[in-house]
Amino acid sequence: MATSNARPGLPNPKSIVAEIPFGAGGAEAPGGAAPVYRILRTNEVDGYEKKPSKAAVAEAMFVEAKKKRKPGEQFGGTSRRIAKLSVADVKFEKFADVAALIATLPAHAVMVKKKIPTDAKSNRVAEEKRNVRMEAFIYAASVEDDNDYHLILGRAPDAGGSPVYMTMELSGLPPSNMKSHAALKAAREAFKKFFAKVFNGDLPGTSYDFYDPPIRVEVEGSLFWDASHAKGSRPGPQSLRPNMPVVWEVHPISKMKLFPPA
Amino acid sequence: MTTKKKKKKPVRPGLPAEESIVEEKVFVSPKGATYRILRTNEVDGYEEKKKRKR
Repeated sequence: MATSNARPGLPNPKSIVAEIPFGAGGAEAPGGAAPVYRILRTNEVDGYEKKPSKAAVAEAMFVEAKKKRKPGEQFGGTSRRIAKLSVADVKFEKFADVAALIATLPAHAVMVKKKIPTDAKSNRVAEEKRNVRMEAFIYAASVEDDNDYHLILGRAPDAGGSPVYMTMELSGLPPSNMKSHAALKAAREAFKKFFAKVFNGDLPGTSYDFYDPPIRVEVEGSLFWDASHAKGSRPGPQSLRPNMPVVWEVHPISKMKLFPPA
Repeated sequence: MTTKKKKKKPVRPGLPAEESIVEEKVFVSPKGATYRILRTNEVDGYEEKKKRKR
């Protein structure tokens, strides 16, 4: 992010770790709103204190951001709640990889015309009533305020051809009386257990972590077209978004098996 | 004495832009396999306006 230090009193741009825009009234500037204030978080300290690294300051922000999330495992969102928390009652289709699945998905323009509502009671439309299963690789992941884990999955790193990725989500948990609860809980626990074992419990935060090498998984779940992103900016981290051709997701993931590096 | 220009290590598809990386963590499995987590400041497209550069 470009930062001007044109006026006296601004920090050295090299010391800036984060630029946090705030709108009128002190709230963080909502999407699209022009910021009124900026906080420029730096790693500058008093002369008598040891200067922290920018990474250390970033880590502290990461911990802070994690604390701001709604605690627990429950789904905290409202948009298309019914669809996001349920597993379609249909047979599973097996695919060779992410690209093979994407090739079968209805085009964006077709789905836009359906004008799928985004209220909490919005259930799956016919095109979304599909369950899929495949081997894939987690390239990046983040956690959302509603407790969903956004996983960006693609083909094997040595698959050749153009890379292609799509979003699959480990949904925040539904109420315990929902039929899908046990499966969604088991999928989240498999993910967390793997991270506890391989990454010392270092789960992703609110911005994307990338994994090198990507994590091999066997994954199952229901299809979901993210109507809230029919127009405008799309999900996914900047580095992978150019190769994410759809806003279709596997959402929720109902089963996941993760494999450590060979 | 000959000098060789150091070649930049080729990056595979699927890695983040170098300038977005704020931290790199390395993990080694009991069998010796190495994994890295590259923590970035990248966010979903619809959250970029309120992005926190970490």
